[in-house]
Amino acid sequence: MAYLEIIGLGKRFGGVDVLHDVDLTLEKGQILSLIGPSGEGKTTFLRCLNFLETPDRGILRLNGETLFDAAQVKAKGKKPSRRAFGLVFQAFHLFPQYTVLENVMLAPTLAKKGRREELREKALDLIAKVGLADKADSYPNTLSGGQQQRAAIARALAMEPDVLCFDEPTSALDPLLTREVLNVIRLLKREGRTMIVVTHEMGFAREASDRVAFLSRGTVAELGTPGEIFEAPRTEALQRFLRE
Amino acid sequence: MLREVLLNLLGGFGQSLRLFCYTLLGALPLGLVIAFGSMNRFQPLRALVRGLVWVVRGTPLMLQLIVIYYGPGLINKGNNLWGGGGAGRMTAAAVAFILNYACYFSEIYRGGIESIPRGQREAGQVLGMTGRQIFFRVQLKQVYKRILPPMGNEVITLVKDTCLARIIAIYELTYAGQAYIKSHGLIWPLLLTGVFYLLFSGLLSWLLRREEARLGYFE
Repeated sequence: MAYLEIIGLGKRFGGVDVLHDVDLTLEKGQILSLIGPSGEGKTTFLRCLNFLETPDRGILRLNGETLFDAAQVKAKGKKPSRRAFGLVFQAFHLFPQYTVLENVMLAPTLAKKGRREELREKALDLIAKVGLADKADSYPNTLSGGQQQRAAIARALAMEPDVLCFDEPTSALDPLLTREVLNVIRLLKREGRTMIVVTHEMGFAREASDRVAFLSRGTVAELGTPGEIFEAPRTEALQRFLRE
Repeated sequence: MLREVLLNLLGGFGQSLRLFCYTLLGALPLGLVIAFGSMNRFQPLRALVRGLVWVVRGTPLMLQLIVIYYGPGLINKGNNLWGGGGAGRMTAAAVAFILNYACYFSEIYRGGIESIPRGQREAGQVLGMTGRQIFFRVQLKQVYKRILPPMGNEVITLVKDTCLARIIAIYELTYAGQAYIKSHGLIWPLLLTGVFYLLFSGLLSWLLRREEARLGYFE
């Protein structure tokens, strides 16, 4: 049984199937990259995993535990019991009135994840890990885009998600800053974190991920290893996408 | 003479200042309640609250003041809801001013709350924060910063609006100054009231600018 199982996930907006029949599995410590044209479901998929949207259909299982079952949610109004996912946004969305350290500490403090000094130590470790040790007391508006995104990664890690999702984490950044952020993701992979990355960086998807899914028209059109997806695309849609 | 006039005007200013403080103390929280009402998901409540805001903002404060002060006594013959004398008048004036300013404030709050990017709330949600935590720990300070300039405008307007209370015979600053025209044939005490208003609104402007500067460290 896979670590993460996504079965038949679907989401409708105004009578349109934005996402349908998405089946995916992922092993612990692996990176899954999601590629595909814009506006065909990648972001909605991540939003569903993070319950920013409630999926209309489908089941999410982690480590054998059912996190979400659309049929049960509909029948009993049962909300997902546990937050297993973290999300890093394209536009960072740091809290502007707090320093980097305060941004990282806020959610764990409110969730009473530990004593204040412990949480502070942990937060400082995370901030150092993403290479911002000297910026812990800086406010977001004094940081570059790449630094803000790394701070946002530290903030997401502070809640200790089982699976960390990235929604086009480098689309707002220039190539140099993109590299810093991708290096942090590679570092997290070496630590054995399980991650799902929506990306337009084909080089990164090819070299860093274990699995690549091509999303087209709201569903997984092709799924495989980077070699299979990039060297031997089977569907015409993927061949056309890779050419462009 | 100057000394006597100054003492009298100071007394009038005291009444103006009391009304000013009551209004802010009541209207700042009430405005937030009204703002949440006007953004409520329950349509009938939303419509009701927006109707109230429309009526209150769409009619003169002086009219509201008169209706609120005299209305209850006229409906319920001879029974003065507000109590007699100056205290009763001040209570009625405070109620009218609070209701009026709360409606203006509510629109400023609503604008401020709706101007915060949705990503702020979503970032809180994916970090497992509750709606209440997101409002108080993430959005409120950003809203506060954004509404400070328009709020400052309203507060400065309120300084001068307090003179409307004389319509129900509250002895506020303008009334105190004007009284000298009738009693002594003097205009300068009335002009002197302008200095009081200028100094007080000047002080408020300075405080507001300082507060804005204090919040300048974030966007």
